[in-house]
Amino acid sequence: MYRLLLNLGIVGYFGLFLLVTGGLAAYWAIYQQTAEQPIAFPHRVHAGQLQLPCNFCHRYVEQARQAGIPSLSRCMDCHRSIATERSEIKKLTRYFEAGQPVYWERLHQLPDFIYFSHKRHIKGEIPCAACHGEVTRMEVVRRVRSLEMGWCLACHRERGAATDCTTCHK
Amino acid sequence: MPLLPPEYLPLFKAWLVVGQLLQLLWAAVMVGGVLLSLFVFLQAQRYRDPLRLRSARDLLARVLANKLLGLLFWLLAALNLFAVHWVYRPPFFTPPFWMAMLVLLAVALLLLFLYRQLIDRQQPGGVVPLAVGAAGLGLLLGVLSLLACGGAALLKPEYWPHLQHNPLLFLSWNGLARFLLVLCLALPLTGTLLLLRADLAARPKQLPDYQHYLSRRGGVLALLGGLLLPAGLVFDLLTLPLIARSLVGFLLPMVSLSLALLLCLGLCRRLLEGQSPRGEPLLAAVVFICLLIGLGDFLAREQVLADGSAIWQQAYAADQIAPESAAPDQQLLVRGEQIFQSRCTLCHRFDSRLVGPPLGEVLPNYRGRSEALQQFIRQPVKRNPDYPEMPNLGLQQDEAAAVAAYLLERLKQN
Amino acid sequence: MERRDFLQLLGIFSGAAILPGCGDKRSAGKLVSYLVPPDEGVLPGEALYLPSTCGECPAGCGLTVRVREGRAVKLEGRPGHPINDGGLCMRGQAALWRLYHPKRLQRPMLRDAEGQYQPISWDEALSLVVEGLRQARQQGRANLLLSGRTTGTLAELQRRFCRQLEVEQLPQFEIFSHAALRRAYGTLFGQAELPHYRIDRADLLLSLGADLFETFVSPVDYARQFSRAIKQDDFQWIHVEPHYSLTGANASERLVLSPGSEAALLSFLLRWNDSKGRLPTQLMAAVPAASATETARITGLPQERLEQLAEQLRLAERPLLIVGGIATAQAQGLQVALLAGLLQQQLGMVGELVDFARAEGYGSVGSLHDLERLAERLEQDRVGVLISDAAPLAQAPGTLELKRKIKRAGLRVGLCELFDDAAQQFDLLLPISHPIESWGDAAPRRGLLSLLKPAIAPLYDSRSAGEVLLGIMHRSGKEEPGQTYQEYLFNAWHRRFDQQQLRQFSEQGFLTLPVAAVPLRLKAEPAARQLAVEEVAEVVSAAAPHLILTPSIRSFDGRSSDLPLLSELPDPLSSVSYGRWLSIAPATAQQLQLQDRDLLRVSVGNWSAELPVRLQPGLAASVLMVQGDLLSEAPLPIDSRSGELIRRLDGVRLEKLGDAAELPILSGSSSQQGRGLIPDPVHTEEPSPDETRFYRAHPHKDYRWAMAINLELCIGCGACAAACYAENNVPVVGRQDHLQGREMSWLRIEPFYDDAGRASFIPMLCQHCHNAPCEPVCPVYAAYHNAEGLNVQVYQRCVGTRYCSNNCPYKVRRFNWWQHRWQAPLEQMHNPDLSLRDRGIMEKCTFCVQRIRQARDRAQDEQRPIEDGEVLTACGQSCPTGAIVFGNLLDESSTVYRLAHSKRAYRVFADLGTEPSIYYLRKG
Repeated sequence: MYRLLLNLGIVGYFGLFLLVTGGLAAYWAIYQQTAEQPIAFPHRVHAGQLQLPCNFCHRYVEQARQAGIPSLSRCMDCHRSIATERSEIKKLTRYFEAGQPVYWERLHQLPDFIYFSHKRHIKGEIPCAACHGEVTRMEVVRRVRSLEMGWCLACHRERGAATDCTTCHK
Repeated sequence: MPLLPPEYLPLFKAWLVVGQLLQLLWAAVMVGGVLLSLFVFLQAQRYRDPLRLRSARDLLARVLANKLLGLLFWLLAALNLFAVHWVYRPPFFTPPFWMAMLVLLAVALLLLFLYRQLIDRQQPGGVVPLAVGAAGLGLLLGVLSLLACGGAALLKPEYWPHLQHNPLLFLSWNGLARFLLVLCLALPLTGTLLLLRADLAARPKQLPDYQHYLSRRGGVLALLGGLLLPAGLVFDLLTLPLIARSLVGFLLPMVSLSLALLLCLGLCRRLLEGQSPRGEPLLAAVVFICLLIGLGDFLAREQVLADGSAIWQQAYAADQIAPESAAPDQQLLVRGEQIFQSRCTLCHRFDSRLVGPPLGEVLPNYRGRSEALQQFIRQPVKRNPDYPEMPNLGLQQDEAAAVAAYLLERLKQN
Repeated sequence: MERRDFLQLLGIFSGAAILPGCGDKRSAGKLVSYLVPPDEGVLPGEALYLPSTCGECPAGCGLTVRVREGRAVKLEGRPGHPINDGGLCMRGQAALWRLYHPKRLQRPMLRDAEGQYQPISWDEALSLVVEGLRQARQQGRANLLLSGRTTGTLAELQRRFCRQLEVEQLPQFEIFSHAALRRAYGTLFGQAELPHYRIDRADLLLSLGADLFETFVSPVDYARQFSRAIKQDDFQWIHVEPHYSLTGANASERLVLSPGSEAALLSFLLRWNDSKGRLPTQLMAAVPAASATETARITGLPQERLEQLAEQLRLAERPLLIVGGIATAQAQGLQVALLAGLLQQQLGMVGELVDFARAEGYGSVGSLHDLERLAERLEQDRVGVLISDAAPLAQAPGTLELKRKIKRAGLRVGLCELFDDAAQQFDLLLPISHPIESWGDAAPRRGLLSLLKPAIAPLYDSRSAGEVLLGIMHRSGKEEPGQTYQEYLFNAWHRRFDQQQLRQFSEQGFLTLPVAAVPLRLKAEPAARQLAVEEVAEVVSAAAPHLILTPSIRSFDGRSSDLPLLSELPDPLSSVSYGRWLSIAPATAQQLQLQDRDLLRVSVGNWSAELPVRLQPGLAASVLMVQGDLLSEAPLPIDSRSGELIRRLDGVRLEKLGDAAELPILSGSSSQQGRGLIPDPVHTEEPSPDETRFYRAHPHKDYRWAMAINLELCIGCGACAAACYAENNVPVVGRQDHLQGREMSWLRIEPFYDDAGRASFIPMLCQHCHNAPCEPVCPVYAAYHNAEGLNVQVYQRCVGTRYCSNNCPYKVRRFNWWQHRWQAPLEQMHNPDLSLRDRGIMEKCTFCVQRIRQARDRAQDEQRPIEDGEVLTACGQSCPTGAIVFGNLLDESSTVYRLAHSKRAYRVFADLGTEPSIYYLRKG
């Protein structure tokens, strides 16, 4: 009896931790993992092979807080005549002709209470790759930085940028 | 340091997994053994108990068998460190860093061997052996914790550029979790090894007292470690950077947890009932957990440093580029054609409209104006509303000159 | 108009295309691509500032709409606009609450046989109207169009609509129609209009009953003019009224006269100055005789003061008399207006200070007589289709029984914004777009055209009134210039203006046009005839107490009472937020043994109402006040001569009921309790603070933000508080929380009364103390002092101990007791530059740190320091009088530096040594 209880206790103890781990995994899978993009856009080809500058598509990166997702008409500028036979390009064309915007999965999302300006960082001559990684080599872009506050602060301190709370917290 | 071509990368990675596992097991046994020996030796001193003294000596004889093995351990550590450096090239891996690591490790090992010698003397006594042992162990643990933090830092490439300015960033919660995990593994590993030794004795019934004593202590130690393990694993998972997480990364700890459960149940039965489960499966379980943890760590690194091989390629390519010889005109044209073929033909043809206008139509405007053409190539402006604007391709002055020379040459030929 | 011209105009007026909002659920956590990129200058994530015109009252202030991602997030007064020049009142700020009102009518609706409203399409709805109009014509019943005050191209379209479809256009409805004034001016000068009063050019202003700062014609404009006038040293303002108004509280001197004795006062003043002989004797003969003693007896004013007043008027170089409001909304209203007109003529104000050339455009507005006639015709079943907006039904006096009688019209078509009680009196409901969703123009004043341009795409399937009228005309087979109302407008503009004017119109949002001088000749004979008919009623005989229904600064004539923000903001005089109340004089209260919140039954004839009591210092003992819009059911008579609503009930009976009601009164005390929050000008010495320093010194490198609030200019109108709500996502918490003292306003206006009942107002907000008592008590460093002198609250650190609030001597920190939720779609007005605060978090004024951030961003782009005046806090931006100035105290050339070092500057509770960053400038 005593032994049974002991064994049960141990099983319960480990079961609890198994549950916690399972919960963590589920939370990660549901909330923290990004789903597949609606169109498999290869940054490796556009930014890597063709070496298109980032701001050719992300037009507002030097002018505004948001870098901007390229408009479909921008994609179509070239893809009216290039690689039109590919299935992903056909998908793009369908979106464009139907007048539907593409809902891209968001990879880099700062919390609502953070003020972040792409313009300021570009003007401060921070290379895009410092935060977004070497997208020129990524077939599918992944998030390669944690975007956590400690990291922001480390860089701000190092470069002598403002570290007052109100600089970023809004 | 000359670089090996990228083909060798998988080899290094494979070695890294194996080498790290070996090192982990070895270090864990060393830490567990020394820790237990210190405990036993302390008790021997207090109770003036020869049995316990003997046990301590025996234990140390096993975990610190001889100095050659110590040297081997040290070399293994050095090899692992360099493997990490070669594969992932973290910038914080500077000579002062690895030299400090290796020196500290060597000092720790020397202290530990001194401790064994002190204990092996006829009448060990006083605080000296204890202090030496504790210092050696502490130093070893210190090195291990720094290595654990280094492992955690590998998963946060965004901090690499800042470590130089703010070394404190090297310490992290994940590093602490990893260090605790090593401790959690050290106890069951040492414990199950002791149990196994008791099992392997020819006639277990006639086991010398001190070995029997040790196997009992080992069992308790293993159970304690096994029970701590889940907390360590969950702590590690919680502090793991978001970008390092993956489904397998969650599955592996769950398998480890299940194994640890079996281990604990087995240990319980053995401690309460005597001999029933033998030491082999228990030890195998612990080793397997170590393997899983090592594998998880490797996967996390691969997840985070996906462009690791890219970094290698880049570094290798940079190493290989030979300075070009001065290019005569013909070479300029050849280079221009190369660049044109690789960069421009996607949008431009000479005779037909693609994305951009047919070059045959627009080039005559630049006849004899190579400078203007270069200027346009380097900083395009939108001229014709019927076409999308041309991107700035970021060509260098000489590249633009080559392309312009090639284009104007073709214009001449047509 | 040629297509080419249309496209050209389109080019001029669509500097920035309207982007549809992407607020659907699918976009959470997604990046949504544009199909085609927006126009140049439109940057995603950056605000767009578009011109429009406020439609919340007839004043027609210019607006700047701040648009983010296709959502309108804030309204601001348009700088340079001839009416408001940047200022905007609290109703204007609250107009966004109308746009996003949960009760917005979303699609056309038709009442079915069971009385339930069913959605129908616009096509069906317009066909129904056309069919109804046709049937009524066949039956010989009149089709009627009734609207509120309408100006500009829409007014022209209305006339055209009525002409083409044989619809009769009723005179426009405004409850504050100023009919008596217009009729008087019509009789005297042949100009049945409201003149534009030039307060800023006067050296003596005598206002009689006119509530210049609340609802009188153009309150923001008058506040702005007042701020200019008071900067002249010799400006004097005497306000005479029987009750207590915000306008009275701000005058240099407020004289209280007996209710209804205005005519006597004016007659006296006319007679006193007659020696100049400016008026024909024939006219003067018609002016009732009034000796000083007799007038003093009737008006209740001391005789010396009366004589002194008359002398002041006579000696002033540029005197100005403004009469209106409660003075003309009484049985003698027309006579008061006539006498006032005469006095204005006698003292030479007409022309320059009483400017008819820039008349306020009330010419097509009718009076309640017209509504009476409508009720009569309805009763006689002579009305076919009635197309109207909801205002007449919501505001018409209950005595007209319009709600009952309207049921007899053949088809009742309502052009409504909200699906409220008034809207539900109609059969067919046509949703009308909010002004900032519509194309249009407005001519609130002669010589001014103000632009309405859609700043956002319509939220619902609504149309502007112009589109509806045009739609009905098209459907009836009438050829109209312009397929859409936008085209119709462009056509009209194209006809009137040249390219340069159009470009200016589009860019600045308004156009000033030259006005022709209006020939004014006093028509002595008809005026004398009119005057002679009137008798000076023996007012003293009217039984006290008098109940005066005042207009409300918060809801105007009741039209804005449905907007949540305006109930949340307290009334400036009583500081009551939710509910209705009766203001009584402290003397009366003492007599009846009443306290604040005690219930009192007020009855006249067989009508009665139970109201909680609020003591109003300075109110005459014989007068009771209640806000007019709260009592639309009171038996208010209509003046038979002017058609104005008589807003006074005499001889009311009062009965004390035992209970007390729950009434949220936000101010703790109506007296300063000797704490010197607003120091008396006589005592200018500032107590020296204790030299002991408990706080670390804060060094400031480039900026030290500070604010100066000029109390001489603060009129207590509460526009700043409203702007603060809108800018900073401050939650509207509702009545229950107000009763528990849990309002969330970051900025409040505190009214304080002295023993004589004179009011002073002080805006109270976080003082951003240099030695802030809130900071050291925070256990988690959520409150800290930053290098630019801001007292910052970091929401992510705050754990809600509330120590800071307990330690704040100014009581300006607000605690989130709840997770405040905005009822959809109100959440669309959230300012994305700020986070929303969670439950358990302390919050407070940030000095609009988001605006500082924005200015810094701009300055960094141009590699220069932030300039003076570049950062405009929401409160300072909105202030009609420019009382609030913000800037850098380290910059010695800045305005705030100059004001902070003025002799009048003081800081509240300076003796505590908190060293606030807000400098108040005392009066005088």
